Amino acid sequence: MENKKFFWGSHRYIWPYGAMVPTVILILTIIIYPILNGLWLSTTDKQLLTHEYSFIGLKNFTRLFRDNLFWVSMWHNLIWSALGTLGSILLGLALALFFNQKLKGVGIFRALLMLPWITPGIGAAIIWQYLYNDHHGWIAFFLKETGLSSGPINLLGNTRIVLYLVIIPLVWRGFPLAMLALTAALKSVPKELYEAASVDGANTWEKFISITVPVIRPTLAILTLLDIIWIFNYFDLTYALTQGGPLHASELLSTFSYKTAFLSLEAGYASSISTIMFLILLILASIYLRYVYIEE
Amino acid sequence: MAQRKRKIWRLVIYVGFYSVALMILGIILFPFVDLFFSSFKSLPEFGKYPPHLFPKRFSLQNYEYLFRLGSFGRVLFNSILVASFVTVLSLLIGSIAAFSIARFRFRGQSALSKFILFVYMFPSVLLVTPLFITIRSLGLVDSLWSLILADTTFALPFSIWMLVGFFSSIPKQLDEAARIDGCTHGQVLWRIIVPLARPGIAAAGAFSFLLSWSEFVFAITFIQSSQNRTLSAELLSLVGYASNMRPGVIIAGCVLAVVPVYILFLIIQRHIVDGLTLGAVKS
Repeated sequence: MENKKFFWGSHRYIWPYGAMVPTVILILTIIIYPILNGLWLSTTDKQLLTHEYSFIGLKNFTRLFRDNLFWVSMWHNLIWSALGTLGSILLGLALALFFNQKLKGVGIFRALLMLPWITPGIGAAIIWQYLYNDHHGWIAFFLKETGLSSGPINLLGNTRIVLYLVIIPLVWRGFPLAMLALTAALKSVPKELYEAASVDGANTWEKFISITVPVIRPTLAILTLLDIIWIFNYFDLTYALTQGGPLHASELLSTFSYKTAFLSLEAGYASSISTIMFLILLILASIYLRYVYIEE
Repeated sequence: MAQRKRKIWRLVIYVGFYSVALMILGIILFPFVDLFFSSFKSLPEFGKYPPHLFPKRFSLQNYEYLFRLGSFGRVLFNSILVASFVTVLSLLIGSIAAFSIARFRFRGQSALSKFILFVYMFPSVLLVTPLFITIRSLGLVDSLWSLILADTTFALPFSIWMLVGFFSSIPKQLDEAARIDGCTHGQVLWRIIVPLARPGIAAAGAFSFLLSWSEFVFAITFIQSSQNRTLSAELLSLVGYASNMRPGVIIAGCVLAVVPVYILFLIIQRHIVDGLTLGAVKS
């Protein structure tokens, strides 16, 4: 009970609490207050640039659920998150396994492979827009030379494939983090286990399944969850590359919400989209926190 | 005989490994290599079919045009300014907070840590509409301070997590000894912890710099006049404006946005990677 007695009285507590004050103030004003304000705005008819607005209850949400574009974006988000996460993690795992060798220069290879991950979103968008270019892009060139297409091909203008074409740079940027995390996990596998398994005559595949997988499973689980959360809300790449188009074929909830707020200027309606995304994020995050907590 | 055979085998494995590794590297970094060389192509070389990787003659006209076109120098300056401020602020605020988490036990500590961890996952796009309204009521629209504040807040949680990891790895006996010698907590942090954790601090600082340099949503939303733009917004406007007329100019701009962060990352990547694995994965 010493704690209670000294809780406010002693300078012993000034340091630890005082040290957190700037951080907490920043988080409250820049993150928490806007979150709450956003939740409130979703029940209003707030326009971005006018100051007067009124409470309209759940009307934004009933409108949203009848909005075809919302469901289209939601469907795109599902495909986007599933393929983006799967792609990042599988590629990351494959490369982590491949580079898990004690050979000279492996560290340099790994470091260079991190570069896509630190490429700014707008940079990645410009790079890939250039690669996808109809006339002189390398991908159009490749498709033509292999006979898959007959002439200049407007890749990003094709509504049937554009979503997948944005997922490729997404994976390109996403795999390095998975590779890094899984490399760290692979290092924690005790070598004696492999030796013991070799004595028992296990082959590489059996060793992988019965030794490697169980050790890296927690990392895989956390990574999957984090990737889903991040990718679900991903914005910059799509917005800069296609702005959700053409004809909403690559529209995601994030681009839909952003355009509703800053192009149509309907802040209230945009907030209702964010609120739905926020609820989904909250569910995923609470699973994540619980998982991390158990890990500790 | 057997030994020689083994040597040959080893050589085969080496050669195989390195050639596959180089191939992987080539494929994954190809987009960037292509971009880099293309930035030196002159206008007639764009749109040629088949595409070629190396420019026939290295020309700097894209870069020249980029700076003549308008305010790119100013934009670079703004980005450096904002990112530097964010780095300094998040290190200052972050190391005090990290010291508190790493060295004290206090009520609500784990709740607070978890709260910070939660914020770290929070995507900026969900916030941008209400935050824009907050920024406007603070009178900071079109001010670089809006970006500094927002980016610092988003950089902080992760910086704190990295720093806590690095600080905790410094033996506690060192600060106890300093305390006995009459140091205050602040002096312990400044004279003992900070110098010893220098690589970790550099990593957290680089992380904050990278985050601010690459930040997109706030940069395109809060800033309205072209003279206050930072890189992301400027590049986005170039994409809309000139993608078909002068592809080389955008590409040059992109190279200038990307190369500094690549260099920064490669210099201290080992520490960033340590911080990431300390903070994010094991957490």
